[in-house]
Amino acid sequence: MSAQPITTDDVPAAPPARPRLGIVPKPAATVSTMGFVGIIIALITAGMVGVMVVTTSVSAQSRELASLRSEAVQLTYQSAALESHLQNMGSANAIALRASMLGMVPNPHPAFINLADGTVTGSPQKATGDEMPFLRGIAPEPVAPPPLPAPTTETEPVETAPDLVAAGPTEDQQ
Amino acid sequence: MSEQKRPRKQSGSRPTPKKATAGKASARKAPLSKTSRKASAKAAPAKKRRPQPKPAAKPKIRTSRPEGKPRTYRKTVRLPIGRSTVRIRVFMLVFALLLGTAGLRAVQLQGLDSQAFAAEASQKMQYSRDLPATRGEIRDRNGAVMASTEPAFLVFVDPDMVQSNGADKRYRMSERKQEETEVAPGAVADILVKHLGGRKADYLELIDKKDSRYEVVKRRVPAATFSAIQADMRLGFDGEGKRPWYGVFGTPDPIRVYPNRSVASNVVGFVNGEGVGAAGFEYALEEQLKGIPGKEVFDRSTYGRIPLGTNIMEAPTDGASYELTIDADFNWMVEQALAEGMRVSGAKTGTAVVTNIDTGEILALANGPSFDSANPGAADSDDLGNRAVTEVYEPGSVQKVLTMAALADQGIVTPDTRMVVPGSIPSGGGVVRDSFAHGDLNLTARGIMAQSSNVGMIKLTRQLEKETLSNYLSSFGLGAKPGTGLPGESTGQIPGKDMPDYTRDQISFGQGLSLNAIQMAAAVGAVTNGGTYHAPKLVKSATAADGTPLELPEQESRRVISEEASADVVEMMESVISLNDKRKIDGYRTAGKSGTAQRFDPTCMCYNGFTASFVTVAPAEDPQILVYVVLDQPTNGNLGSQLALPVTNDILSLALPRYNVPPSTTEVPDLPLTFD
Repeated sequence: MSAQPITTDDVPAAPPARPRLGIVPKPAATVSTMGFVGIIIALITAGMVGVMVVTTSVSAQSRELASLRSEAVQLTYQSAALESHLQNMGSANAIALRASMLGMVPNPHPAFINLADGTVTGSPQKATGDEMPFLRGIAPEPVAPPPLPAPTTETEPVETAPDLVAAGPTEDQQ
Repeated sequence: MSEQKRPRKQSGSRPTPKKATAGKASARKAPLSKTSRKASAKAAPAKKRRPQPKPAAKPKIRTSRPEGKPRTYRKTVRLPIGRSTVRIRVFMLVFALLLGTAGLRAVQLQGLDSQAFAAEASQKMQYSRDLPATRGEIRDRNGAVMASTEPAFLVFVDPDMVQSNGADKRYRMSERKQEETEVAPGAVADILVKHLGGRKADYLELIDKKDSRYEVVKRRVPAATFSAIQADMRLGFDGEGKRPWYGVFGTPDPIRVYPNRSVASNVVGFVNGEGVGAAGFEYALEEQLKGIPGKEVFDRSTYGRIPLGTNIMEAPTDGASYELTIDADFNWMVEQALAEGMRVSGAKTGTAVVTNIDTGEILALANGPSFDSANPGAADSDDLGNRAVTEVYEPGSVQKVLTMAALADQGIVTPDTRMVVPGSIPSGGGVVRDSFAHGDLNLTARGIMAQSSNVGMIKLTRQLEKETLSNYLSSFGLGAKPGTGLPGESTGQIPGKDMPDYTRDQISFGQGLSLNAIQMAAAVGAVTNGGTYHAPKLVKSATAADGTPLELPEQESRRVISEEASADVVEMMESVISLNDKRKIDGYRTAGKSGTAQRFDPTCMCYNGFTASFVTVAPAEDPQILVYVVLDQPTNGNLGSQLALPVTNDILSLALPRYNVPPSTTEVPDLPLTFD
């Protein structure tokens, strides 16, 4: 199919007259020179203040972080000291010594209560107090020489120099 | 600017008319080389500028200039001042030079050897410090701490600094400062006494040292104590913290604490002065316990850390923690019982082992004499090991349990096997007798065990192939390291299948082979638990610092004798106890075997002294707990049944209720030891 040529009856119009070139009017400044300077100064000031605030807060936070860290370390130390104290108190030696001081004695006569039916297995007996004296750090009477292997429940030897002060727990530990 | 200076400088040597008239060349040269003020003044109006009012100069020059010469010569020689293009160029040049230099320097710094320079720069403000890893803990089976690390400090003073209380000695001190320095040494010494104990005079002596900057006050001061010292130092002169004391410092010096001290110290071991394991598991597990130290790198200026600067933190990996099968409280009781047994028997050394025979776990392991892990230096260095795994000995009659187990498993012997036992039996070149003189005895195998008859055992064992016997000994774990993980384990010695006949005879009752206490405990455990050998176990579990469990070497378990043979041997062992009412304990049926061995002395290659031992398992109807006590070189007698048995019984009485073993409800069967 061939396209029909477009014809137009219009007489080609004369080219429009070229607009006359002229000097572009100087745009009127919306801000006065002083205003402009003011804006710039304001911007700079705002920037400076911003930077200052950020820097200050960063250093303040860093300071706070450091102080919290050192506090955490101090607390770790304290907890370690307390834990160590607890461990010493809970050691076999210390408990045995304390039990012995409280007058506790071992009872080697076993008896079990069966919770299912309430029966007792074994024959419970009252401890007489002279069973297993070695557990109480007490050597039996009829012994010729002083006991060789000293019981391990002994306390630390106490020195008696008059101006010697034992290292006491710190205030926080008490 | 040179143009302006020059004329002034050379105004004295103004070109004279004579010189100017000398010729064309000199005339041309004069302005070029000398540029006299007059010449420039004259040239300016000629070139571009308006004539300058210098009438006095004009005629002179005019006379000096040759007539008819074009003025263009002067135009080229002039360097006019005050012209913007020139200024711009000059400044451009200067800046180009400056920038160029800077640029070159930048290229030199950044391009040529940037790495080295960067490293140098960063070195100047970068600091790095090691972050020590915390050593792993060792705990007992119930979680009680056996070994742990507590942060601590080495406290030292800078005497110089204390004396001047931190003031710079180069300058005159203010009165205020002088007032401080007078009391500073005393005050600092008081603070040290308050927290560290001791005498004030000793501290003052340290502080008063002249020209010293470092004096160690005390090592291993708990961190909390050191913090308290620092806090008191900060309070200072007036107690308000405004005029602090200076000169006391600390460096990390962690303490390895052993709260249980001597309890199971032979198992736990200790660390040396540098904090490195030197004995026991502290030594054997050093690699796993110590951890990997970390590192911290950061930028720092005079005012402390630079925020947002480099801050690399390589966290340390703390050491792994171990849980032992040992029960610390019970171990303490065992130690006391053993110490008592040693005291009564006058033994030189002693060992007690308590195991759970169904698992091979060692519940208690005591040595005597022992040491305090927190103060190993106070003990004899011979006592710092663990004799239960290091020292070998001839087991004596306890070995009969193993021989009888092999015989029972081979079907050669049942408890009722009958045997006529003569008073002695020839063996090798000599004769073996029993510990008590007797004629022919009609003993059952049970009776042989109960009476501990060497002759009877030899007669029974001669029915067993030597190779079979040797294999049984190996399968009971003898002749090989027990594998507890403790350092210095001995293997002991067992004869091979090519042993001579007399060696078989010896072995049957416990001579001619050597073993350690742990090996024997494990072997008897295998015989009495139904016939399964479990390698002795001391490490229950291990945990990495992040809480993940670590894999432990798999525990070896194997069947060595049948269940029937095991039951038979336990029955025979029970008759050892039922022989004498004094051997029983309250509430439980027990089974055991004594051992009284002559002690082989390697120094004289002869028998010298005795080793008294006793092994007990309970309850006899279903053995669960085994106690084995060895007393070496007793001086008050030598019989295992008299010296070691009371100790095993005490330990069993404590162990059975503790581990929830209900008392026996059945009576000890009355079974024949003899026959007619």
